Amino acid sequence: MTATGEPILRLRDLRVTFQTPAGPARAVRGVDLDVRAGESVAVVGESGSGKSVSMLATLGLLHNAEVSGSVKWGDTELVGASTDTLRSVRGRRIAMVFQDPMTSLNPVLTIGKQMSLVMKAHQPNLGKKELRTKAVDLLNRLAIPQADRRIDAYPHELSGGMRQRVMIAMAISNDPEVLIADEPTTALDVTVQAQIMELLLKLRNEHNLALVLITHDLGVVAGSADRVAVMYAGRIVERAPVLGLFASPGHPYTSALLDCLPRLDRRHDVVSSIGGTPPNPADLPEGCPFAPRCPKAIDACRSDEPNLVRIGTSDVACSVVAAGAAVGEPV
Amino acid sequence: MNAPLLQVTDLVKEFKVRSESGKPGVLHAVSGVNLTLHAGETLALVGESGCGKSTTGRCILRLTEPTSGTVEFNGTNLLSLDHEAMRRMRRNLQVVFQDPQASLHPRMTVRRLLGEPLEVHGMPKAEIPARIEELLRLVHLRPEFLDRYPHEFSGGQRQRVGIARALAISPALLVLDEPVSALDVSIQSEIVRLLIELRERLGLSYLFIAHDLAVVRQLADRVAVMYLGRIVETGPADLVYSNPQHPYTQALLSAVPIPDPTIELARRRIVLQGDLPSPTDPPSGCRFRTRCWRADARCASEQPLLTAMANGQEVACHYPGADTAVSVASSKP
Repeated sequence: MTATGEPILRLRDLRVTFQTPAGPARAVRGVDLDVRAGESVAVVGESGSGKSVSMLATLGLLHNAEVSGSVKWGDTELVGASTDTLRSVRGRRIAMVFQDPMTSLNPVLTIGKQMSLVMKAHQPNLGKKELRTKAVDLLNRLAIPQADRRIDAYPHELSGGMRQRVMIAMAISNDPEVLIADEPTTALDVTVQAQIMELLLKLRNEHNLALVLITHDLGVVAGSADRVAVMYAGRIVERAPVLGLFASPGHPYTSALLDCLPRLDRRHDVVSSIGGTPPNPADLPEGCPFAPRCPKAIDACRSDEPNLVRIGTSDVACSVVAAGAAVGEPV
Repeated sequence: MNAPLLQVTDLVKEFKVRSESGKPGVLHAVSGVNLTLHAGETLALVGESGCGKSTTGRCILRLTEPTSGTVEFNGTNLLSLDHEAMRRMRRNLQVVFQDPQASLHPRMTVRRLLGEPLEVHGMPKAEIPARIEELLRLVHLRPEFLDRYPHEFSGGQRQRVGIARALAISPALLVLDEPVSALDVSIQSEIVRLLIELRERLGLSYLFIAHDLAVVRQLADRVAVMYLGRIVETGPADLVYSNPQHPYTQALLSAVPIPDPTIELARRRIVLQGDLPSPTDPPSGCRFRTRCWRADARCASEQPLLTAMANGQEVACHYPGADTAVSVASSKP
């Protein structure tokens, strides 16, 4: 499915810098991303690529970080916005689900109480009875058995998969238009992951929800994303429709990452790997940050950092690839 | 066929627990597991959290004392050995854990981390430095790393140190408990490649405990699938992956995403209903029956035993059979 229409969330040149004892760590270095209603966009990368930090910055959830650039929700600018503005958007228009439901749920409040608090924050007119009915209804929609009993349970009484469903129920309880899911299934077993991903895609379809999926798992991406942004060292190095990305990856990093994925359906004769490690955000090399690990790197890559360039249906940030292709308009 | 290197028979591990109301109960972690591992072979023990795969591994090494059963290594029942004999036996069986950050002493340099097992197992002092350097070369770490501490390494490098330490006293068998689960994909594949290389070079046998079936496929000769303390299916890896017979194996394989959108769109996924039952109160009969679409009354009353099929696969199910819609067809790279 490809969504059309105006983006409802628009990131432009988003930058995040943390001050560390080792000097400024540039965790996100100029991210552009559009998200449209009803589409599922995956932001993929390894640990430290900046995928989570860019989304936390989007929601104004980072403290002790310098955030610049622009994040627009419709006409509302979120970077540097007041707490009131952020609160009216966060949880209401844009909701987020985190990796580990055990650390995001309050252990001493029942599920129902926590769900009520989330709904009341944005819909203060709801009465006690209505809140409970709505909460039970939400749990039912997320296929939680015996929802009317589970609502009085505490988080520790639920399984990991069930807790993640509660988190998703809370996230959609104020009918947001965008749901950002940060590694929503990483802490879960694979059969539970299948249940949760099925639910998220169902919600996307039923509510025309825009889904931003932050993940390191390209397998999950293949089955659930419409478009993909691959991040490396704080930047998007490739942005492409899901079919194109897997069929003909543009950036050498994307190709290398796909090549080293173990696959269930085949045994590789040679297990390939990338070699080296991602750079330290406090000590980035000059030029393209992937150059030290890149099989295609030329001298120019070590001095100039490339921008995203449209090649076919993809945007690729690679000087070597761009030079070899018919170059269109830079994006 | 030669005598197996490792033979586990009727292994049972039960933990005494107390329920929230304080009532004493029994957690059935491992309930009658049989495993055979031949020299030079890699057997993968797979399953989801709580299935008992790690407990099985720990019982084999006697890091946890099993409740009953036997674990024979080269014909010796490990469970009959006293403390000192077991300690000597451990030079043959070593373990690599998931998180090298947690399993390597933070205040020991690589030199000491690798030297310690050599001293403990009585290598003459004069030979130790050369062996340490050899170990480092074996796992492709540079000699200048010898005087560094674990925190100075990346996750992948730390796991190389963990593997080198396990290999120090030249064991015949390595128990690898989720050795790549904590690593990023690009690093994972390097460790998998190293493990394949070491296996060929040193003639090692691996008991590879993992939940990631895609990783397992890259190095397992045989697979045993566990669910709630029991093995539900086992056999040559290629057969189990291409033609799973147990409904749980089918559901498990169908849930693993394949990084190819065209395959993903065309696949039928068995989404299991409900949650894993509690191991303190496992279902009667077949433990998978509460989530199985093939289950009937017989499954509740009679425990299905592992039964061999003509092709070498073994299945513990009253109604085994291929589900062609979900099997993962082998595709040529």
